[in-house]
Amino acid sequence: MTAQFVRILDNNIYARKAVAEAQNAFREYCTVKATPAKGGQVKLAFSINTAHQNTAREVVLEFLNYALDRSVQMDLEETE
Amino acid sequence: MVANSKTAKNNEDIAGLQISSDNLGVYVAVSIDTAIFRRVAVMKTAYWYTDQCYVFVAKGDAPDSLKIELRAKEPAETDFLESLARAFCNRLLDQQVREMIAIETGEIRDALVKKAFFEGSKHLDPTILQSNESAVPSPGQSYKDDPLGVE
Repeated sequence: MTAQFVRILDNNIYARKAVAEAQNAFREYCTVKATPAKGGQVKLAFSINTAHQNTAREVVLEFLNYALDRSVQMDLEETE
Repeated sequence: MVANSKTAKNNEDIAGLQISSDNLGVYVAVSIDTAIFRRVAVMKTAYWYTDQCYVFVAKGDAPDSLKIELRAKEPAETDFLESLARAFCNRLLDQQVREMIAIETGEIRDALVKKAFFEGSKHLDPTILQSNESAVPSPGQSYKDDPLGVE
């Protein structure tokens, strides 16, 4: 399966655990391959599942929103 | 979602805001200086905006900066993205002030909470906490009767 969308995330902004949770939450919609990139970053390659090709943009962007939400929640739980 | 190229070009001139597009559509990018705005304020603001738009946060091009990408959830004109970015900046300023006040008043707040819990711990006997029900109207009584002639 060829990756349709690629995003580079910073591990200082998006927690690894948050990205893993997003991968799990969105497994019905897409397969996301995460590979380490230079400078504490991670490269996410999105392959949208066939049934959700029509909403591929929404799937990727909702995934990123979810990962951001969880990262902020984890940050707040640690600090407050 | 189709960006008006003329509008997009004009918006590139606005300091801190840039409207661009990629394979996920049109977005407005806001550059935030983390020497001015605390990172936690930026992240909390981004968190608040995830319900109304798509938000992506990345390190900025300049050191000590963050780049926020905002995308509309529904098809929208570039004017909408620009106003979204401006509202984001206002909300960020609001959050930054809240953070500063929280830091400045943190000790007072902690002292008040400690005092409140300490006072509460002095009344652990439930019989002391029973309310006085003597003034509660009995069945058949009504405030309309006004037996004390309050009116």
